[in-house]
Amino acid sequence: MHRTILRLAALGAVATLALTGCATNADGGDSDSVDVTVWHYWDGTNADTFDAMVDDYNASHEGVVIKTSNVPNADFLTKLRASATSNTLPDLVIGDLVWVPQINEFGTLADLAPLLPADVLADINPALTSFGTIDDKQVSVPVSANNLGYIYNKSLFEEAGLDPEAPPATWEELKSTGATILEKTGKPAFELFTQAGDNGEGLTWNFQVNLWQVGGEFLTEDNTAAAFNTPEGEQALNYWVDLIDSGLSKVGAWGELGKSEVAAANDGSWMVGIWSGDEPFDFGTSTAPYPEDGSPATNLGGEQAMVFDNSPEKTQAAADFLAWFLEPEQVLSWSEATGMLPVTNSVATSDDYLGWVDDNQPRLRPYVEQMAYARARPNTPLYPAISLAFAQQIEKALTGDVSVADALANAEQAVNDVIAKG
Amino acid sequence: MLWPTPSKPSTTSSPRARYVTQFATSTRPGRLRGRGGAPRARYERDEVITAVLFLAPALVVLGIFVIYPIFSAGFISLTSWNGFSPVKEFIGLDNFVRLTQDPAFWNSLLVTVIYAAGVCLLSVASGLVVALLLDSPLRGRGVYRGIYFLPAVTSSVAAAIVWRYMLDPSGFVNSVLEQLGVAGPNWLQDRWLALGALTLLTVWKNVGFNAILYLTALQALPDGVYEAAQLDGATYAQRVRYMTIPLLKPMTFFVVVQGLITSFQSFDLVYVLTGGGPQGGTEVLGMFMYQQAFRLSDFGYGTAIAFVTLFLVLGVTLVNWRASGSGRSPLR
Amino acid sequence: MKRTTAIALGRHAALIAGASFVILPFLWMFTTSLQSRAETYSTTSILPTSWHWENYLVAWEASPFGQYYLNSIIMAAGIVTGHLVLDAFAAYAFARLRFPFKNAIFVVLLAALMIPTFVTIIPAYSLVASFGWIDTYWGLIVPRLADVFGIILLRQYFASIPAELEDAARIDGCSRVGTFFRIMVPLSMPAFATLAIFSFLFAWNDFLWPLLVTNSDELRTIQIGLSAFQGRYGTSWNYLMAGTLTATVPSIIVFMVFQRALVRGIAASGLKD
Repeated sequence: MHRTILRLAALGAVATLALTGCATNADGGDSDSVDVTVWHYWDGTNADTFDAMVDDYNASHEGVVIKTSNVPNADFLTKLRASATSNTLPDLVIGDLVWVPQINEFGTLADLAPLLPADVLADINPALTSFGTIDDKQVSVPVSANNLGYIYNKSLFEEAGLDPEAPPATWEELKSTGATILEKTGKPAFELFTQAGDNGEGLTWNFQVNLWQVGGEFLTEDNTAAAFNTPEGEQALNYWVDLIDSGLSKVGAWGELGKSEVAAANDGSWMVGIWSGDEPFDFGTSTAPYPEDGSPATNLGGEQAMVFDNSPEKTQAAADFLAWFLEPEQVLSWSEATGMLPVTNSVATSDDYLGWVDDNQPRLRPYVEQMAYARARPNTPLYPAISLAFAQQIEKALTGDVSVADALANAEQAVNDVIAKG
Repeated sequence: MLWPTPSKPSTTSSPRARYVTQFATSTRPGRLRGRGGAPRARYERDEVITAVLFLAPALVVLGIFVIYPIFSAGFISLTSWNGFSPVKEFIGLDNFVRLTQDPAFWNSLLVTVIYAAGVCLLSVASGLVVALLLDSPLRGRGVYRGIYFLPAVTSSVAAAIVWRYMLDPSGFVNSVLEQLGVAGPNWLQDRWLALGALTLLTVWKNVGFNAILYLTALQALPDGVYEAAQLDGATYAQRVRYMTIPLLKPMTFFVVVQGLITSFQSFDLVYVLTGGGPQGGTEVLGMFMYQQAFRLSDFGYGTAIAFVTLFLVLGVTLVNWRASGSGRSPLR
Repeated sequence: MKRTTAIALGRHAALIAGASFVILPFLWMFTTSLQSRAETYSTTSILPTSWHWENYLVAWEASPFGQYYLNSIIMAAGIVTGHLVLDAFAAYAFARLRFPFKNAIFVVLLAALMIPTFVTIIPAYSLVASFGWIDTYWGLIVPRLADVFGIILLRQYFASIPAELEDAARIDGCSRVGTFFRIMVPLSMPAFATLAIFSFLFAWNDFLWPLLVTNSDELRTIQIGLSAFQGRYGTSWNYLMAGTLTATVPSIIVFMVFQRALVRGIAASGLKD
C-alpha cells in the first residue's frame, strides 16, 4: 500500500516539475536595464496607441524597459489593493482621476514634483495639477483629460422645427427649446443622471456641473464638510426637479440618448470619438448650458498617472517616462490618436492641435474650449463614500419623495457623517 | 483480477431494494464483522494512517488556500481595516454591533431573505416540473437536456447583461408585451419588479442543474408502488402530489441548500443586472458586503457581514436538515 | 395509444415553450454579436437583422485570444484533474475510514463551502504572491487543486456503494489503496463525470482569481480577455457577445460529452434515500 502511495507521489512530483517548465515568469530585460511595470485600464484603440508609444520609448531609450499591463476597469482597485497587501505593486499606475486620493492612502506614492522638469509641471492644466497635489506632494499627474458637454440629437431638433446648428447655451434656452421638443416630438429634451446606483458618481458628477455653474461648492476648501446646502445648491437642485416636473427630463436609467429617446444630455468628450466611426444618430456638441446669472463650468475627468516608490531607480525611470509622455509632441499625437483632451495648456491652445480638431473632430471643439474653466472634484479619499451618500439622498428629491430643501439637508447630514467617521 | 468485478449499481430500482436483495449484512463503512461482540479499539492505527495519507493532499491545499484565509478573515472582521493600509486596528466586536444598528444591513437582509425564498421555491418548482416533463421516453430528451443546461454553461456576467438588455424599457420583453397590447413597466426601475427579475434570472440560470438533479432522482423511484397506486385509481396529479414529491424530499433539500448558497452569495448577477438598485431594492447581502469592503473601503465591516452570512446559511441548512427528516449527523 | 401520444405531444409542447424561454437570451446574444456598433444601441430585435460575421474575427484579434484559450484550457485541465484526484482521496477517507476529529473537519469544510469568496481571496492572494507564483500556472492552478463541493459529492457516492464489496476484496488480501483503485474508482465513473463537468465550468468561467494572479498576456485566461470589451467609457456589445459565444463553445462540448454519465452520476450518489 505504501508503495502505491509512493508511486502516486512520484507521479505527482513529475507532473508538478513538468508544470514548472511551463510556467513563465514575466521577467525580461538584462540586469543593467531597469524594468518599469505600468498598469492601466485602457482598451481597444487607446491601449494600442499607448502600447505603440511605449514601444517607441523603449526603442529610443536605452537602459529602461517599460512593460504595460491592462487591468479591467471594474476590478482595477481591487487588484491594486490586493497587490498593496503583498508588495507586488506596479511601478506606474494609470487610473481614473477619482481614484487618486484613495491610492494615495496606500502610503507609497512618490512625490513627482522633484522628479519632473519644472516646465513640464507648469504646462499642465492647473485644475488637474492642484487635484493631484495632496499634503503638498504632487502624487499624480494627468495623462488624459475629458469633461462634460452638451451632446444633442440634430435629427430630433429638426423634427421639432429647431435649428440643429443652434443648441441652447443657457438653462433658460434649454427649457424653452426643450418645451418645443417635447411638444413636437413627444420625447424628453434632456437626460439627467437620476439614479444613485451602487456608487452614486454618475449623479454626483453631473450635478456638480450645475452646482458650480450657479456659484455653489460641493465641499469646503479643505474637504472637511459639505458645502452644498446653500441657496446655490437649492437653485441647482430646483433646476433638476423643474426639468423633471415639466416632463423635459425623466427619472430612469442612463443611456436614453444613445437610443434616440431623448434629445440631449451632458455627456463626456469620449463619446465623440466612440460615436464618430459609427453614429447611432446625427449628433452635435456644444458647451454645457449654464444659467444666465451664473458662469460656465464643467467637470473634469480622465486618467492620472501615479508612481509607487518601489525603488529609486524604478521611480526615476517611471518619472522620466512621464516627463517624455507629457512633452508637447507626445501629448499632441496621443490626443489626436485617442480623442482625449490634451492635459497641457501649450498643446490645448496650439494651432496644430486646434487645426487638427477643426479638420478631424470638429465636435470636440466645445470640450477643448471648456478646458479653460473646467473644474476637478474634491481630492479626498472619502470621495466615493461621500458621492454615494450624496446621490442616495438627492435621488429622493428627483423621484419626488422628498422636498428639495429636505434632500439637501439630508445629503449634508449624510456627507458630514461620512467625513466624521473618516 | 483477484475477484469478479461487481456489476454497476442499477438505477432502475431503489437502493434499499438493491441492498436488501444483494446483501443481508449492514453497510457500515469499512468494518468487518467483529467476532463475538468483543469491544474494539476506537481507532485502528493503520486506518488512521491511511486516512491521513488520503486526506493530506486535499486538506493541505484547502488548509493553506481556503481555511487559513478564513481564519485570517475572521481576524479582519474584528478590525477596522480598509483593505490596503499596512495597519489593522483591532476593534473587537464593534463591526458586529454596528451591523445590528445599520438600516442598510437590515434592508439587505430583508431583500436577501425574500430573494432566497423566491429562488428556492422557484428552483424546486421549475426543476421538478421540467424533470417530470422529461421523465418519459420522449424523443430528443438529450437535446432538451442540453438546451435547458445552456444557461448554466454561460458565465453569470454574460447572462445578466443579456437579461438587462432584454428588460430595458425599449427592450425585447416590452416590445413583445406591446404586441400583445400590454404596456410593459420599467422592469429594473421598480424595486420589487427588479427583485422579481433578479429572482427569475437566478432561477433561469440554474434550471438546468435543478432539472437534472430531480430527473435522476426520479429515475430511481420504485415503479411498482406507482403501478399499484394507478390500479387503485390514483390520478397523475395525485400520484405526483402524494408519492413523488414526498419521496423526493432529500433531493429537494439538496436543491434548497444550493439555492440558499447561491442567493446569499449572489454578486455577479446582481452587480451587472441592477448594481444593487433601485434604491437598495436588489441590494442582496452579496452586493452589500462587496460594496462595504471594496467601494467604501471598510473591509473589516464587509468581512463581518460575510461571516454573518455564513452563520445564517449554515444555520438554515442545519435546521432544514432536521426538517427533511434525516436527523442524523451529515456524516451518517 | 392515442392518449399516450396526446400526453407525449403535451409534454413536447410544454418543453418547447420552456426551452424557448431558456434559449431566448442566447438568441439575443447571437443577434447582437452580428450587429454593428450603432445598431447595438437599439435593443428591440431578437432575430438577426444584420450579419456582420467579421465581428467574430475582430473580437478574436482584439486580444491574444489564442493564448488566452490555451491558458484557460491548461488551467481548467489542471483544476479538473486536481479535483478528481484530491477530492476522491479525501472523499474516500470520509466515506470509509474512521479517524479522530472526522466530524469537526467536515464542519470546517462545510464552512469553507459556504463562505463568500471575496473573504478568502485577498489573504490567499497574499500567500500566492509571497510564494512567487504571480504570473505562473502554479498560481492559477494549485490554490484550487481541491474543492469542498467535490469532496461532498464523491463522498455521498462512495457511501452508497456497499462496503461488502471492499470487505470481500480485503479478505482476499487486497490493501485499502488497492480496493480504492480497483473497486471504488471503477464503480464511481458517473460521479467523476459529474464532478468533471462542475469543475470544468467553475474553472472555465472563473474571473477574479486569474485576474489577481496574472499580469501578463502570456498567462491570462479567456474571461479576462472578454472583460476588456467592457471599457471604462462604454462596452462593445457586439464584440463582447461574439467573444462570449466563442468562449462558451468548450463548455458546451464538455457538457455534451459527459452529460449521459451525468444523469446516472447524481442518481447513484445516494441522494434519494
